[in-house]
Amino acid sequence: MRRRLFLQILSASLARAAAGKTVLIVASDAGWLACAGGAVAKMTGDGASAILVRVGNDEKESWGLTPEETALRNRTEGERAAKLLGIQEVISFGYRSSELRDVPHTTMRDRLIFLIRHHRPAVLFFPNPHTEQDRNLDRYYVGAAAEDAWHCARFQNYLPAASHSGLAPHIVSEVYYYSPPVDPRRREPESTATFVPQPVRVDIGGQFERKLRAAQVLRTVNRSTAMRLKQSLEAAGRRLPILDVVDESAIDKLVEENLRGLAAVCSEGSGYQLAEEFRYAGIEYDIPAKYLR
Amino acid sequence: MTFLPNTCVERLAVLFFALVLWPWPCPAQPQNRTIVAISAGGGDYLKGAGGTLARFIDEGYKVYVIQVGNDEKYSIGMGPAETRLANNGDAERAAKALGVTEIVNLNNKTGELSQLSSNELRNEMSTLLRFYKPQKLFLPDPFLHYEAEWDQFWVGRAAEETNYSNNDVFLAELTRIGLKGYSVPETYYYSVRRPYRPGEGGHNGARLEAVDISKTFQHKVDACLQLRTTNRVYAEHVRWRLQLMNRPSPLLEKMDAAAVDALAREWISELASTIGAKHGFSQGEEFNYHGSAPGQTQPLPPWILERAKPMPRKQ
Repeated sequence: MRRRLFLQILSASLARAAAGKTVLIVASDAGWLACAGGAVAKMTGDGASAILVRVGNDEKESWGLTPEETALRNRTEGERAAKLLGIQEVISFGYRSSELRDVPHTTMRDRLIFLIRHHRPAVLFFPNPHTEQDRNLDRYYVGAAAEDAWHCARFQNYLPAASHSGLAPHIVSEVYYYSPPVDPRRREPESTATFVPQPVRVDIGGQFERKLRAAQVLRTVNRSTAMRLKQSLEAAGRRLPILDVVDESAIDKLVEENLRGLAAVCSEGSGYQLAEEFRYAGIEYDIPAKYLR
Repeated sequence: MTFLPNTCVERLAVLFFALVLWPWPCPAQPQNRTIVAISAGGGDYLKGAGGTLARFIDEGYKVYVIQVGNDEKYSIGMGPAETRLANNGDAERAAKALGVTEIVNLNNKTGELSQLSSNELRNEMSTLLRFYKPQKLFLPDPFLHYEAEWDQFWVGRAAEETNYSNNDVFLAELTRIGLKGYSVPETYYYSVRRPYRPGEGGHNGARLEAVDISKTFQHKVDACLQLRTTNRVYAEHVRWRLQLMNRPSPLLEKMDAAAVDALAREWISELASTIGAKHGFSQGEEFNYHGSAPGQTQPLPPWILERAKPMPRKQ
């Protein structure tokens, strides 16, 4: 009986995966757009549907606004940016950004397992908790919970209440770990694809303009970034000419410079003009090579 | 007046005094040939260190396993309680197949170990280390990348802490009842599911230790094949993933015990040969090793020696 149920679940999962749904689990809007916006735009451009899960509320990313207003503005802008990249739905957990250490790992993980089982994606993006020298610990906590959720969502004895209510176990076939390109050893494979996710580069030359337009929608975050940069420069007795007058056009230019620079760093040695870097776990991961021949 | 043993009884008394009561210099304490392996689940230590432990068992070591999680999550078609019993039975059989002396199961809920106080977990481990007084400790490496099962991290972190926080100042109540603080001479950090990264291991006093397990590999496989419940879940998941990616394998067309065993054997074999290829073995295991083997002492690091002054001579 249970065996038959498992096979039915499996068939349902196969049918949904064929639709090519992608779920992105992110700590903050600006972070995922900068690191993975082009690859996501590429997938949605090829017909995949995508869901964005915002774990942090971005309440601290503003200049001169209260946390409440900041969170609301950033949520609205994040949703608009996501729409520009072809994302159908945005789910915001609303946890306070930069306070994610206080959210129990299993609480965050179990909410993510619920969503994985509900949406049954074929592809998952989440921050890489194993990258080194990334100062943003929100990405670490979200990445740890998301990686654990990816692993646990396939076992029926996690979230038994959800299993009993019809949210059956699900395996996500492909995973992209994203992170800013700060780890000096990020391009080393560490081991073979059977045992660890492999470093990959994605050409985003065709999607860069779309990524840029989406990133420029994040006005509250971008203004905060520009003002803080200007303040730091002034404290060091320096100036950046494009920030002499911090208006929308200057901020947009700064965003473009940042994203172009980032894409150029990620493309080094790849033959692409503009790229994004990931660790990728696909079909080879955790399956002996003999079973793939 | 000088005492000279004349009678037989007197001679025997002198001999007894000389042999037994005279304060001869004590010979070195014999090495405690005991190993403790800490494991998140019932089979994790086997995958990461089974071949090496089998070698030590062949050399006469006794191996005790501290299993932290109850393995209640890993099955197909069984509830948590049934799963726990099935996996624990498998773990007992696997341990026996390897030659493990005993498994102490702490029975915490698998998959929820982050909820457990790491101090509490550390203290449970510390108690057992004081009891067993092992020469060697095996623990899951909490510093490894891309270990998707986070229980390895929570267990490894607590296990590492017990190793440097188990002196008499900790757990005073244990010290009071006679279980005194104990420091394990040798520590082996193991990786359950992957080879170490090139260049990983070996900072400060540690070193990457590669062990040739060619002679005990079959022993390791035999033990791992006893983990029938988790091996079956793995096989079902592999088949599911291959179908999701439209790459079904003929090797898993018929999902019977032979197919499950063959897949488990192949995974263990690929791990061992991938590690072995790095070190010139046909099959290997890797550890981040820290400590001093019997008869050796750790040299003091130069940043201590450069400031250390000679002791004043006693007059």
